[in-house]
Amino acid sequence: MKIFSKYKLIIALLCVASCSLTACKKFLMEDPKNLVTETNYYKTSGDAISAVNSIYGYLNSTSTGTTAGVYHSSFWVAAGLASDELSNNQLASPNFDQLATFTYGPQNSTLQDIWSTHYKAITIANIAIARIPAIAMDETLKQRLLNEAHFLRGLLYFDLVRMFGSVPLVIVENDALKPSAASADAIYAQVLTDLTAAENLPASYTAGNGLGRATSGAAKAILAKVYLTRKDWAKCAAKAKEVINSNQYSLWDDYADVFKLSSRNGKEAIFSVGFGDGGGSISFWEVGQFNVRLLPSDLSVEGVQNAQGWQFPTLPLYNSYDQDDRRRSTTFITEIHNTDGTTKTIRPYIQKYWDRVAEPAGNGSANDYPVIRYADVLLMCAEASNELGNSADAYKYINMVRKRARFNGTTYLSILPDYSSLTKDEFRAAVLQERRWEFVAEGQRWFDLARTGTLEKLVPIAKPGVVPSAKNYLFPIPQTERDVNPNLPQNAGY
Amino acid sequence: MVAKKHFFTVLTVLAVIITQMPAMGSAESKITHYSRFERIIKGTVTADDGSTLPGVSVKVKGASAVTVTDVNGRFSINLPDEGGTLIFSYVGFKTREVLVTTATVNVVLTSDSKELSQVVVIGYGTTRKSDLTGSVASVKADELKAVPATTFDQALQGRAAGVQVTQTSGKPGAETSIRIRGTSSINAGNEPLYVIDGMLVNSDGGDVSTGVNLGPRISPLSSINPSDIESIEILKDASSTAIYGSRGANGVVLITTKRGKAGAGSVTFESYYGLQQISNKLNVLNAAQYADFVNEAKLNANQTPVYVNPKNLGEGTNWQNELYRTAPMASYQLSFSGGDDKTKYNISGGYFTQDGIIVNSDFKRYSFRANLDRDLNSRLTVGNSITYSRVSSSGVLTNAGPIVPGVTTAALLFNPVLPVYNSGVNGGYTFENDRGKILGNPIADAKEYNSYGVVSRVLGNVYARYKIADGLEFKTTFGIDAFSDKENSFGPNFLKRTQASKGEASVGTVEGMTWLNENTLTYNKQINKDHAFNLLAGYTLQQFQNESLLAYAFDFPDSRTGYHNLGAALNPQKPVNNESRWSMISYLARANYTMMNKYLFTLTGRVDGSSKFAQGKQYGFFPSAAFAWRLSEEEFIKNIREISNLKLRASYGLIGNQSIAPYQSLALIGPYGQGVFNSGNGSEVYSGNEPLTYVNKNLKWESTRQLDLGIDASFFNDRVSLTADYYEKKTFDLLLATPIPTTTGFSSTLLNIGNIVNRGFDFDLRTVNTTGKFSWNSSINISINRNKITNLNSDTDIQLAGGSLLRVGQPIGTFYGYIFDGIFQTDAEAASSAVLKGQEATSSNPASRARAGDRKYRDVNNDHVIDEKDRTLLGSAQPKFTWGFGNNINYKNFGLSFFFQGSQGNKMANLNNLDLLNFTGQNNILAEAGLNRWTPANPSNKYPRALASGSLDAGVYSSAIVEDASYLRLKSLSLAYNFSSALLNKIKVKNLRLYVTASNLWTLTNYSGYDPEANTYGQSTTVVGIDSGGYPMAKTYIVGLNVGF
Repeated sequence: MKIFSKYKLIIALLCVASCSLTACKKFLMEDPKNLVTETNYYKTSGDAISAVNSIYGYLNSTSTGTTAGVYHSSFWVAAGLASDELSNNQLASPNFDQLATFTYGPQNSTLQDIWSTHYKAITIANIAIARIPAIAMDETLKQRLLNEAHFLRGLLYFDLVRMFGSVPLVIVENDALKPSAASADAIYAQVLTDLTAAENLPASYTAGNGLGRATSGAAKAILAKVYLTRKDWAKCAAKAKEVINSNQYSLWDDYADVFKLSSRNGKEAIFSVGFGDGGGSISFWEVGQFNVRLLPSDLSVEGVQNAQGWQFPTLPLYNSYDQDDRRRSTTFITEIHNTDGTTKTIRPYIQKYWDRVAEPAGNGSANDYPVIRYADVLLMCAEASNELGNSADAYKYINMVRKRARFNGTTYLSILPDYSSLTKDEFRAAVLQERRWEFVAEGQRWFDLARTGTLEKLVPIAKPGVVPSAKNYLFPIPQTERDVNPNLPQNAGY
Repeated sequence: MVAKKHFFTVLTVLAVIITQMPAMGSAESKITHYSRFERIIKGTVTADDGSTLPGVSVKVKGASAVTVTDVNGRFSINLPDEGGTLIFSYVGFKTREVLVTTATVNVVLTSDSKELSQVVVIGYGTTRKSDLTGSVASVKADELKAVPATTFDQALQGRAAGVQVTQTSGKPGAETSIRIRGTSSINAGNEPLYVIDGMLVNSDGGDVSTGVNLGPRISPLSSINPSDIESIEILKDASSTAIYGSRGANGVVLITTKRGKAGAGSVTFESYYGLQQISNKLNVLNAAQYADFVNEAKLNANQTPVYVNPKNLGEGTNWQNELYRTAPMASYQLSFSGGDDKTKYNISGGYFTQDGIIVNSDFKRYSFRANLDRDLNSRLTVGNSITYSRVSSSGVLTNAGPIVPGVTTAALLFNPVLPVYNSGVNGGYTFENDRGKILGNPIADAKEYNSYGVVSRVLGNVYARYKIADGLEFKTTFGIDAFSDKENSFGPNFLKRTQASKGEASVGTVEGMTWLNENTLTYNKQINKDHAFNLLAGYTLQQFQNESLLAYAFDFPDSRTGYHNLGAALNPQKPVNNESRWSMISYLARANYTMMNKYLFTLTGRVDGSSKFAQGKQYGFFPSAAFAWRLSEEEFIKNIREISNLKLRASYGLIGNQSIAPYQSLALIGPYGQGVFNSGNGSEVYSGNEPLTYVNKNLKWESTRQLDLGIDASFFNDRVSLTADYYEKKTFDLLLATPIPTTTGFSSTLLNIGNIVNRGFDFDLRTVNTTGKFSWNSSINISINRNKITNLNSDTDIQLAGGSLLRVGQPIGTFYGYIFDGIFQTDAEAASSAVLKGQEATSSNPASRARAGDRKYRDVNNDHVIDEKDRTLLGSAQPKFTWGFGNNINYKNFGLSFFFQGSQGNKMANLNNLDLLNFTGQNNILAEAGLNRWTPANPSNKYPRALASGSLDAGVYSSAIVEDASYLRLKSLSLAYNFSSALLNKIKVKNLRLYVTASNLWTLTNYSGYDPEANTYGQSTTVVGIDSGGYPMAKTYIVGLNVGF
């Protein structure tokens, strides 16, 4: 019985056995229908918006890991502790003790946090920058989203290069698993490229419709700070002027209004990071980002909950103010009101982020972290102008900030007179001092002292016995990172 | 889509073949010519032991005529010419050629050397054992039948060297865990690949489970009826497993089911009935003893005693007696087998039912099998193997761990003073243990928390084999393994366990299948006497997919509708569904070359492409080479009469492991980046999406390099035969969750990093002690394996569940904890010694300060404090060796067999004893410990004092709970009677065998728990040797009957 000829059968079998390479590729392609993967994502304008939102989402806090985002509780706390601004009062937290006393090393967990949260957000920015261009969508929105991502990446690398110096410059998606470190100059060059692109962002947004996103003003203000840090005074002054002349921003008349909840993303805010649960629509933990760690536990008698006072100001900081400086009473709390009407005096703690009226229980954290605000731009312009010998501008802008500090809510007091006829050096000292009073617990102080080379001089005055050295102008590269990436050299002295 | 196209082609080819197949021929041979010279030659074929041989092939030399002997060994064949020669051949016997001189030819066939002619199934083919170059253990049906096993994997225990089988649970049908030559993976699987009649099947319980059923998972292999199995081959070394490439690293288990043989049809009925009992119960305190113990614990803590007159409480409730029962099991199997020279069939149906030894647990299996083979012409053969089975089981909650104990744990710990039932309580059961330990009434949990699952499975393939030319053959196979699983469970609102949920129900389903298409070309060529070639090349495609759906709900005010009405719940939960899919493309090849019948060479290679890995890393090549030297064929050995066979083997090769979940190389996108843009007193919520994992574009196979050096020897006419192997398995590129630089945006991912080494010896010795009327055979096998982690890419230990850890330099399954150092005998000694934090003499709570009668722990680092730093290695779950020892004794019609099996030198973390040696009086404890507790009058150095509050060492993981779990077990003892054929012939019965078997009859161990084989974490790759409330093993007695017509 012959069913097939031999040859027919062989031909049929060869058909069965043949497999073109492209077909094989498709057969082995994973395409899960129940999961969203990068192969079926980054397709729509909605995907583009969400890709950029995700970067913002890692600036505040995250629902995984330590819950900490970039500006949640490590970055600004470290910048305050590793200076003459803050001391640590949190028990059993050696990472904060070490920062406050300049005894930190590569094992410090706060530094590891700062490092990894920055790179987390950078990774997401890289993905947005890589993926959005291919999405078919409104071109204006596309450019805006890309520039927002550039702004955020520039800002994050600016933090990293100032704190750690030479770090890996990862700017593409899926870069090397173990990248080498790039030079600080190369990182600054990338920061400038990113922020310059971001100068094309809109000047403003309306409330509820993007207000809080990065703007051209934010890009210019951070650029001014980059130039200031690089001592490129002319460019710093020019960028600061662009911000000033844009007429988008002005100072609140009363320093006490700057940190009111109602002032969030108001006229003085240039770029802030929002915190809070959006009225319950975000499920993860946000409570007490500032207030838990800054308000004194003594406040419990006033009905304030969960005040821990983990970090407090150094006494020399508190004592350096004129006693009627509006900034002193706004920034610090020194009295507790007992229920029987008496008051109790305590050492100074920081209360500036607490809106007593809007948030009487004090355990919320709906206030914004001010990455940069208008007063900073004015002081940068003053500082750069002084260096450039343009004393007219220098005095003009420093005295705008100083004048506001004289306002006690109803009247201008006869304290803190306008500066005039200072030598260049005296002006330098004055602007550094003004920044110290203005920006307590805003994550500025270590950067100001490092930038001006004054760590060794100023820290021991506020913290007797604490003596920073040359190595402290950079933080150590976290050891856990170096353990898994042998391509990272350690900074000198660690 | 190419795959689909291929099936259609294959199906079309097969459809054409099948539709043109003629009606099955009769068993008689066909005679095509009839000439005047033809004569009918008749005769009987018998074996050398005098028994008649049915199914012997009888062929006329130089002609096409062929027939087979009938059931009585008789044949009849037409001889075309004068004279002529008949060739008689039969598997297991030497082929004989007989010159025909008379019309009746009675032939005696002598059995071939069993060892050498034994046909061994290997990957994509068979070979004679004498031609084997790799390391393959073979287990035959007879050995499997010795133990009445629910699933065949249980029956493998102790049967083959290098194969360690652990029963994860005594639950009927539960998974077993099989390790072939050690544990070679941490994150990917360690279970071997199962190939059933050429079908690579899915044996991962996780794929066939919805997670709804209570207790351990049912093994996917439980759908195979053990009675259908002809033989099991276990491929161990790289030479034999490399043909399975990326799935061979954990060894391969080849299962061959029974096929029909030419010859008159036979009908076989096999049946047994048996009873099971818990193999041992643990002695815990009775009511009077417990009350006394609780009172003393209270007094020692300066509290008021609870029980007024303990002595009057007597025995109280024996919760184990309430929970465990004598449970019946029964098996019935009817099979039909037979065929002629062109068509062979084997069809069977079986029913198996088993009640569990815990009330309300059971297992039932209906299984049907049909294996057919048909020669369509001299070149083309088609056939199939197909089985359908339906397994249903009810489960109770065991293996639940220490936090919410299951019924086995609760039955030990529950207060014996309390009764089982309490009509005054909703539901009618005593609600909970009233002494502090959170425990629900185990009887209520077992009887009222219902869980029921049904798995239906079709496993089958069809093949066509075409002889293209002499020695050249093509074979194509298409098979599927399709399953559906439905699991339901319901806990009424009156149980302690459902207090929070107010009653709960779940309904889950999984539906899935894998299909496989294999195409192979084989070529056999003999060039003169000295060169024999066997070549194989193949191409295969496989795809797996499954989908699951789980619905569950809480708060059932009315328990009557159970899981049948989820809608009755007041608090329904979100349904969950999932799906998974993977595919593989493989190319395989093997070349065997035999030179002068002495030197054997094998080269094997497989290229596997798997969808589970990153693009560009999907393909892996797995080659191996082997050489064997049949020393006994050399002239200088041939003359040594004592040596009947001697062969040296060596093999080396690379094999892989890909048992990870799909989609791990993909970048999955999900939400974490959320936040608010605040403005004045308002806020705008935004949400973002980003990749959830680091995309490892380099994710690839785990690889194992394996060296095997072996010897096969038999002496004194095969009276003694020995197989011994040394092996070294070095696994590298381990798939390991590893910390990575955070510059990637992630802190860890699955990387190919890490190394494990397994080295060991396999010994298998078989002896024929006596022959003749009184015959006695023995077999002994020993497996020795040493496992070591040689690289984890980190100096940091990886802590695992159950107090185990992974540490470089140590084996997988290493225990870690404090060293228990006896009991403080005086208060002064306690006050001056290093003690646990809080037990210091300065402690703020005087009740917790260490006193006489408290446990001592060793201050390993000598810092005068007992803290985490004093934890140290406490031994390993890896045995020094495992072994099996079997004997078959036949005298006249009686057959006796017994089989011992054991494991030596392995430790077990008996987590049950964290509670059973907890002296706070919160729960019942072991009687031996409770009655010998430390008191001033009984200064025990083993058991502490009773102390109701302030005790800090309850639950401390120490050497006190890590025990030696070595054991020796009489696994089976069986006595059979075979009725003589003279008697049977009268009632037209071919054979009749009656037998009684007892299994797990006797165990010798120092282990204090139910069973030294406990393995609560089942098939977990890394957490082994943990006993935590498992379903205890049963002792079984059966009577059985096999009858053939």
